Amino acid sequence: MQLTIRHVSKTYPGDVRALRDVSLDFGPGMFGLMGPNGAGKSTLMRIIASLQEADTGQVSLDRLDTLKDKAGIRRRLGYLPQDFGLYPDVSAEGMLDHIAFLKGITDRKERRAAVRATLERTNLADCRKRKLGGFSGGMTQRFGIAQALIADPDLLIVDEPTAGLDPEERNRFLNILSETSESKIVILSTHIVDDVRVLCPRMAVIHEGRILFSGDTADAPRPLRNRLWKKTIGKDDLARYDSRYEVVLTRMASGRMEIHVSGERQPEEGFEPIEPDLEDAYFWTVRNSRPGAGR
Amino acid sequence: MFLEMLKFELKSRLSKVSSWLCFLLLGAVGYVAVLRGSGPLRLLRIPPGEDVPLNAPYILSFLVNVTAALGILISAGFFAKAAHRDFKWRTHELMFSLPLKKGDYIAGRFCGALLGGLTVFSAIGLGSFLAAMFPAWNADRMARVPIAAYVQPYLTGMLPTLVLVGALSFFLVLRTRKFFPLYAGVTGLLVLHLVAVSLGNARHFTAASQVDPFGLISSQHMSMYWNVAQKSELLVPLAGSHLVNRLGWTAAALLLLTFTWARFRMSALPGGAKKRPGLRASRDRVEPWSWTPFQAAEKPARSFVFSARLRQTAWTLWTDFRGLTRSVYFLAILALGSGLVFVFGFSNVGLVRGTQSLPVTSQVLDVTRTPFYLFSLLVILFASGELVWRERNARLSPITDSLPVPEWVPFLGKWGALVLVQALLASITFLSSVAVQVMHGYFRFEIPLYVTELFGIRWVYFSLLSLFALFVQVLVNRRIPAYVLTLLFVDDLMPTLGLHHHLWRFGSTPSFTHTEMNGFGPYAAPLLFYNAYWAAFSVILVVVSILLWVRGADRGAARRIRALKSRINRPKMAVAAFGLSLSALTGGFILYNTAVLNRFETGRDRDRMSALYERRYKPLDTLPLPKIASVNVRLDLFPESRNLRCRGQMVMENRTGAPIREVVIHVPRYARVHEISLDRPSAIIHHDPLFGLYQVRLAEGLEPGRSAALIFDLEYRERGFLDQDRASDWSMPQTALVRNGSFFYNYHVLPFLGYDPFFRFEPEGRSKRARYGLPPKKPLPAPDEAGARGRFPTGKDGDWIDFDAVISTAGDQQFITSGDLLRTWTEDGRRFFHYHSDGPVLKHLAFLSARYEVRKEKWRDVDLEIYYHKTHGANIELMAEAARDSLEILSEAFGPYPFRQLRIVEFPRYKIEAEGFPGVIPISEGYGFIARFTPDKVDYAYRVIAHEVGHMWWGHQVLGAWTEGVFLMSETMAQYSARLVIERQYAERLVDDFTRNELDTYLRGRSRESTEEVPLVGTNLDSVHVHYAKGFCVMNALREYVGEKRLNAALRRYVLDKRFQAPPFTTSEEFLDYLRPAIPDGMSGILGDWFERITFYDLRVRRATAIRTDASRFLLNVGCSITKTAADGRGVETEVPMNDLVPFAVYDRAGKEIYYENLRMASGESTLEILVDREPGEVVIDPHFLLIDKNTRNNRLMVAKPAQGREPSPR
Repeated sequence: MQLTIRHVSKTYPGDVRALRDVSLDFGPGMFGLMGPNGAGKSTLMRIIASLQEADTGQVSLDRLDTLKDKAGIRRRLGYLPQDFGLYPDVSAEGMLDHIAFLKGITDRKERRAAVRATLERTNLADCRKRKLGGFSGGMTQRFGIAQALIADPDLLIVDEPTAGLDPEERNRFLNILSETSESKIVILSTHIVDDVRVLCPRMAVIHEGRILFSGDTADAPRPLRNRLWKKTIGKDDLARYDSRYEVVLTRMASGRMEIHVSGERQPEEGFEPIEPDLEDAYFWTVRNSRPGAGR
Repeated sequence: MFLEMLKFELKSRLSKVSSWLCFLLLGAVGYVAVLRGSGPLRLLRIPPGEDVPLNAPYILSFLVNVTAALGILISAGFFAKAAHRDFKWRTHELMFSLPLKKGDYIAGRFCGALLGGLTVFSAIGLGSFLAAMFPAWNADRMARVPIAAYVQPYLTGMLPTLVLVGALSFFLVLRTRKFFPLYAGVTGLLVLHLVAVSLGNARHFTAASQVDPFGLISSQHMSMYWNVAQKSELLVPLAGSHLVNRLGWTAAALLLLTFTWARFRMSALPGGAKKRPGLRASRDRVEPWSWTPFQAAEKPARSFVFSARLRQTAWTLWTDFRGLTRSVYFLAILALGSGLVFVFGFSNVGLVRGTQSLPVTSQVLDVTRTPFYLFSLLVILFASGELVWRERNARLSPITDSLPVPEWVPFLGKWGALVLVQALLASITFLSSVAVQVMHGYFRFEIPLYVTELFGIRWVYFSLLSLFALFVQVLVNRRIPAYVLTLLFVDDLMPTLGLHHHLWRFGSTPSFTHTEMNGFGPYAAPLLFYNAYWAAFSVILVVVSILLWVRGADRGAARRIRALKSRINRPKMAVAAFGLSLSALTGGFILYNTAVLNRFETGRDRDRMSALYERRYKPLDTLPLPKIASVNVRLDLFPESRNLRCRGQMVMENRTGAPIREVVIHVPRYARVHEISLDRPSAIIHHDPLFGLYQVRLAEGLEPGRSAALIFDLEYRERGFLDQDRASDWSMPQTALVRNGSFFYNYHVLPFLGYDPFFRFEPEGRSKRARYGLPPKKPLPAPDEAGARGRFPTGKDGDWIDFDAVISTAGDQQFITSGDLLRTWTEDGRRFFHYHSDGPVLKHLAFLSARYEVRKEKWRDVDLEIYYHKTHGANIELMAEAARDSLEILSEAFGPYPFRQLRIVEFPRYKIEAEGFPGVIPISEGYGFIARFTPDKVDYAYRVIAHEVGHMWWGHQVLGAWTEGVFLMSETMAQYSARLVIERQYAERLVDDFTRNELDTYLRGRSRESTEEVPLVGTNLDSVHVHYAKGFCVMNALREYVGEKRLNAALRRYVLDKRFQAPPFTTSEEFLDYLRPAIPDGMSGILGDWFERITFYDLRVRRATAIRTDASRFLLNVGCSITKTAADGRGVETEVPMNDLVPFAVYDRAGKEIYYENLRMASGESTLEILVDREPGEVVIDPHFLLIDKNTRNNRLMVAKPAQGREPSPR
């Protein structure tokens, strides 16, 4: 099973170019789509999920042209939007039942079993009778993944699911995701590096509508190997370092500031070489795409 | 902060496309409404008279007020969105954490929405202003109107209504933090208004004007009696009950707002600190993570086949239905609906002059039709908006839009939910109506009729309307503009655009009347086929809606069109083609029926026709004409096939002084002519089939005094059905030949002679005539015009005739007309009747056939017969009594009754009226037969019969020439006859009530006068309020002033002199000459004041005090002011000197009369001293409404408790 995106572009009214010639390949397994806010992640997800039209380009799932055959892709899709609401006065079970029915599980017994299994799987079985209006953010998000998973889709799209979740809820959520079958294509869009690091063997970085990197997650830091230096500095000195060196990321730790700088050799006294991780790679990629970056 | 909030709210309102869409739509409505003199909305219909400018201030005021009322659809949305904004976007926690006082928060949002609303609604004023400045047509009917006329209705009408709607919206939304309750609130306001309307119908005007939340009724009350002059100039004042209404409702609104403010908490959750249990549980409990590894269960079986789609549709339907109806506020809406049925069912069933009818099913259904139409429309609008936006409002659409269901599943599901809601409303109507019947003690429920009308007609209509509302929501994709568009469309948009046929108006059918006698009669077929047509058409609408259905994140017009293209596929095209061919088929069949088998005519077409007739044939008007002396007719009616054959001959006599060589003969339109010929050599020199006109030249002239016979054989056959009923120009109406209850006149079936505007109406009204290049004309000629006194109102081709008819009908029906019934027999299963008039009868005859029950008795030598429908026996004893009393009293008053029978005959309620024919009085089933008379109201059937029996003298013995004032001797005198008769039956109080109602009818009627008011002596064709209502008042007063005996003696003399008169016929002036000698000395002015001029009195009691003079006597001191004015035709009044008798009455504390005297009074303030021998309670000038006074409320005053000597009063 293969999801292929070729030369997809999308421009919003007002000449906002959300996607520029995006091409990507997804196979079974988890795929992390990373990018800062407004990078075009959600647009791309919506295009795949049949909720938006691409201006140009093709998207196909195996031989299925998903841009043309929307009904086809919808049958195989599970989609958790970034921002969604639920009827506050309906119970979790009722709502999931409703969605399951519309997903084609019209047989009552089948549906009941699927609803129960999915609720258990998302650890919502205890509160299945409760009204959705009373759900916390984490529960809502888990319900969101439940509704996406209920008909056991081939393609699962989750758009920034962990934003705003507390660490415990985030863990739970990632657990559920990791449980999903290996045979699915799972696209996880996020701006949280850890989500990708923990879950996704493959990933892409998107920024200002362009794909800056795509490939194995493990390969992402490779260009920075032996080129990354770290130093703990005073907060006030940042501007000076920033103007002189290629600062990849800054990180606050116990009130002190740690900066990572890329370079062929040690930039100056006090910098020590470090092994690049995914976070470094992500920020480096994004920074490098900026006009005038990488002086 | 307040200003910041206000600015923010106003800005966000005015930055919305939908606001400006509404602005444009309202502007167009204002423009067109003023130009047309009636709005595109039926509810905005204003009928200004021809001399009143189309932009008269009272019209502008009405327009703005009605817009404010209907505009609750828009304004409530504005306010509710303002109140709901922060909860919808979940910004409330953010807002409430700002240093913001709740007063500023609420007031800012409220005022912002208020200003936004005012801005959008200013379009209606702006539109009407533009219409006045740059009229596209009717430029001559615009006047210069001060700007104040545009501004004032905004201050007195729009603003208070907006504040009220705003307060209610804020109350509901801020209390519940939900949008849905608003619908119940708005529906509540509408229902309240409708309740006020029903109170008004039942003549509780004070209550009605106070209950109405929009002040519409009270504002109309202010200009109720205005004449042309006042209407053209005055602004509707904010005074009296209108002021009370506006102040009251504004105060209520402000109170509600204050309450809302006081109870509002700027907290994250509604209801202050109280948390919802569900939320607490989820926050407080740390959930243990029970690890249930996911078994790789087999994929659930899924199905995407068609039957699964159908089940999904049904599922969505039910889910959406539950979503709508689960709310307690929906229950409130249902309760309001059944409340509406109750209110109308209790107080408005079959109202005629404040009296209700028995709650027979068709009447109960009738009375709920209009209010429930508005109610259902509102529910449809709201529910359609709610459902189309349901997922998007809940932000669920990203999930639902990506579900693997085709667009038609949610669309049909939502439509189905609306249809189910309407079924619920229909059931509510059914249950409430039955409940109303039970509570009235009426148990003849006609369940099949209920089912047919509620489910077969209304439910179908509302289901279609629901589809249309959904379609517009989908198309426009903006909630409130879609409301406005839907409303405009389902109302009168298409006719406004000149498309009058119902085939243009989605979901509509020709209007219909269900009658007890004839069921749905001629309307059954069109109802069926139009509904079939719309059902077929709705298939197309469904397909288009599905293609347009908004799905996904791309919502721009261009994107939607692209999506639409991609959604077109074979099955959809096939379904659309199916719908198209089916609607073409049914539509074609309807067109065949309405435009091929029958003529389809708009009002314009009819005007054009009559203009053509006048232009083409007016010259024939002067041809000398023979008079019809006798009619011999053979009529065969076939009720089942709605077919009539009419054969016979009419003898024409030359009563002119010269030979007649040429005769113009008309046959009624739609007649099929088998034969039309004369009994002597003659030739048809011209035949115009359009008008059924034949010009016949006689080979030899008809010498004076000689006769010729006109032989005719005509046939009338109702074929198919009509879109709109035929013109009333004496063409056979579609309700004339029916299965049970046929009723037609001689004019409908017999030929007539000469050019006669009475039959083929010339266009009336100055502007209409000008449009067709015709010179202005007076509705009736003056009495002194040449030849004017040579004809009766009933036709220029004859006056008194001998009449002989052999008529046949179905075996189970009786066929009734004038004359002695010589013989009746049965032949081939059909019943035959031979009627023959012994003496002359007026050429004004009725023919009625139905399955009748008969009640017979004899009054002296007169056969008194009542023919009635089998279930309508409730009032026939009363009717018989009325007939007996009338015959007795009137023959005593005016001389012998001229016929040997009096037949009262029921006909279906296609018309609600009664009419007098020689010895025959047809009365509509809705005009007394099923009335429910109570002792506290005038049982109008008694009065109606007295009136019609009065016509047996005034009309069928004496009739004036067809000139100005002719109705004085017919209608006014029939009213006077009724006055004489009701004396026997009614208590004095009821007579007073009736008189006051007639006074009110007259004053309202003159306010609707299209050009000029005429005095009674010159009463005209359209001055119904003058000869009926004012005529009653004046004759009632005359009887009181002159004395009944003396007056009747004069009238009897007149009848004896003029009965069965030959031309020249009598006139109203001659009539007054007979009255004059009867007027006592000192009153000689009253004939001039009351008959020849338009005179008003203004009578007021200013103060009334009393002192006890001795043990049993009281001296009453009354201050009063009296003015007498004469009005010209436009209503401009000038004071005239007065020296007239005015009745004064004093009542004791218990309401008993202790003094009544006619006192001679002069104009101005005066003081009277009246000695009475009981403690006086109230002083009343003119307690029996004899003098015409526009305000009778200030004619009475309670007397202050009498002071005893010099002692201070106890309190």
